[in-house]
Amino acid sequence: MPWSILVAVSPAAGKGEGRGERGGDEVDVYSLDDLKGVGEATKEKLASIGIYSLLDLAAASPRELADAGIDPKKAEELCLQSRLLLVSSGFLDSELLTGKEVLERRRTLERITTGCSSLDKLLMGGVETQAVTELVGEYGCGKTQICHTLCVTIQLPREKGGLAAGAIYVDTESTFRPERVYEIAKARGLNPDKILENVVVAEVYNSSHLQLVVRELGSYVEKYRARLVVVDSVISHFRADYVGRENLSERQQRLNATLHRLLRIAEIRNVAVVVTNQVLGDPGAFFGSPIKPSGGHVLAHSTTYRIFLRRGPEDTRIARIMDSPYHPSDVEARFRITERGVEDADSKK
Amino acid sequence: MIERASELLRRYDAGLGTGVEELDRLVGGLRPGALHIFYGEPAITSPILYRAMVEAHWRGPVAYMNNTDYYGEKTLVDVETLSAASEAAGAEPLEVLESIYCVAAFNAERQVRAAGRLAEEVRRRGASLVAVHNASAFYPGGKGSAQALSSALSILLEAASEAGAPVLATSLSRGSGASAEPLLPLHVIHRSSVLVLLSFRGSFAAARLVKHPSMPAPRSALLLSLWWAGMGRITPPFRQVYRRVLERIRRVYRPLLRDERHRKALDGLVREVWGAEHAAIGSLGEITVLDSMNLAASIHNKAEIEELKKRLGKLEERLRSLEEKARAGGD
Repeated sequence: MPWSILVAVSPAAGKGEGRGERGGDEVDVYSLDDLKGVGEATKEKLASIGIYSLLDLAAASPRELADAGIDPKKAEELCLQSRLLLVSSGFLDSELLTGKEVLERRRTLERITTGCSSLDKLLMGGVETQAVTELVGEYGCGKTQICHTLCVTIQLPREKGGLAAGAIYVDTESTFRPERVYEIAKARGLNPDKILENVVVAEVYNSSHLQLVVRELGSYVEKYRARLVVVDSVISHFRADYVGRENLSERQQRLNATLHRLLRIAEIRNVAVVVTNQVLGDPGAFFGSPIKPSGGHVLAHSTTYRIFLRRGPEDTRIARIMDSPYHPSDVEARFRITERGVEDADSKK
Repeated sequence: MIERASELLRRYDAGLGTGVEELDRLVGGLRPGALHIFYGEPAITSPILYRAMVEAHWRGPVAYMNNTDYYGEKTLVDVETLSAASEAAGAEPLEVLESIYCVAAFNAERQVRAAGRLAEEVRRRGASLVAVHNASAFYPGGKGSAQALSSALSILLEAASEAGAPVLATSLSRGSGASAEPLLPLHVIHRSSVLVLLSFRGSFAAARLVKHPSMPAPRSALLLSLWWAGMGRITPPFRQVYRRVLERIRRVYRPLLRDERHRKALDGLVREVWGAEHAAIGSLGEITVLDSMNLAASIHNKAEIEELKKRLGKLEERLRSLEEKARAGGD
């Protein structure tokens, strides 16, 4: 059963504790007490790594549980049990689906408009939930501006391309500007104060801090009824904290763990995750662009969609799909940064 | 750890000004925890950095890291430029110097250690600004220069974020014209929130905002307020001189008046008598000795006049009551 239906019609109403709300619909979040073998001591260990509900547990890996001091065998068992319980109650899809069921599920995926029709067209409707969308490009090419605009458009009603939900902005570069969100909301004829109420910001100072925030993201998504998580940027602190080849392996491992956590949160909680990424010079490139996305294979493989942004003529910006399972890669979208956030390049200046 | 954007806006801080009006309008202030890179002509970036440090000293101590060839330059702070910047702001150069604590990195290897030491001080004493002078001094240098620079800035940014201070770094540029970039590793450029290219247009200094999260970019402006650093016009704009003189009178002269009546009289004089237009007609430049003497006399006179006015009022009151009594007695 697709997630969007499950969110609207909570199948396990009254069965567990931790009843919460999401996007105006009530959702049951099973309590950890519903699992066999979870006592107070285990709950404490789970809480230490940001796991408070079955949904959090289903999004975690046995390795993370083992690192928190839980016996590895028990950790595997707990992850499996939580997943089975959520599947049996209809919260999660079964492990095995027919092609038709997968198609049905994809049809019901939700999308958030970017507020720019050419970008929406490029993304076939907007930014998807249950996926990690990566915006990559040089500085000043509009990554942060798209993120700020999404914080506004996510709050639009569904008929206008939003999800009528809030956003979480993980700010690693001190680039989040509430006044910019205010300006975008006002220019789009929305109530800026209300819009700002539904955007929550986590300022992150280093890579360990980022990992900590991502670990707690599940509970934040629940608490603030968010359907969009922005991490701007996902790589910045890792690049700064792990310099040199000797630290590359550890950096990539930690980056990988962070990205997988984000992906699992996106899938299990049905939220859209947007991350921004930087570029680096590629001295080995004889042909084509001398820059490439940073983060190596780990980042390339962990995100669902990769969109490359660059500066175009006359202060425009150009977006192109760089990696996607189904988007065409030869299409480009031109847009402009205005007081409304991002807009089509041919819109009024 | 996590808070609503509405709360952030409520606590909105326009940021620290650089003291260069045109630049502040372009950049909108230096924001806490954010990395601002001003790159281009050192003849422009250095005075602006010092001017921002002077502006920051009103708010609290200033952390300063100079990346320099110590054995060649033998100096940590360019006192001459700092003094000029202080005087342009109406500040006492000594006071400004006292508010600055600094470290120097003499090579790439020492950059990280120096940054660590400065970060410790930022955490201990607090800071209103973390200034990094000539960040590109050792880049691109030998092996590890990019790593050292990246680590140093990262260390300073973390400490500045905790202290609620902005980080302002200056750097040389590579390339020419509007497409010039900071001479810094690409990921450091990415890490910055604000990028400003500073270059000459004739004898004027010009700024081009290349990257900003909330201000329209790219955008350019001429920096006329840098007259004190010998750029553009050689005479400062009148309003600036007028404000500077007033500021100096308030800060330096007023505390010297021991009598509270005289202080009030001075405030009254400044408020009532001095106007920008009057001062313009009188071609006000610097306060001369004669001006100071006239000022002192005027203050004294003003105080006396106020006193006499009060006494006269009381006497008139008394006279009126006596007249009324006399009239009542006669009836």
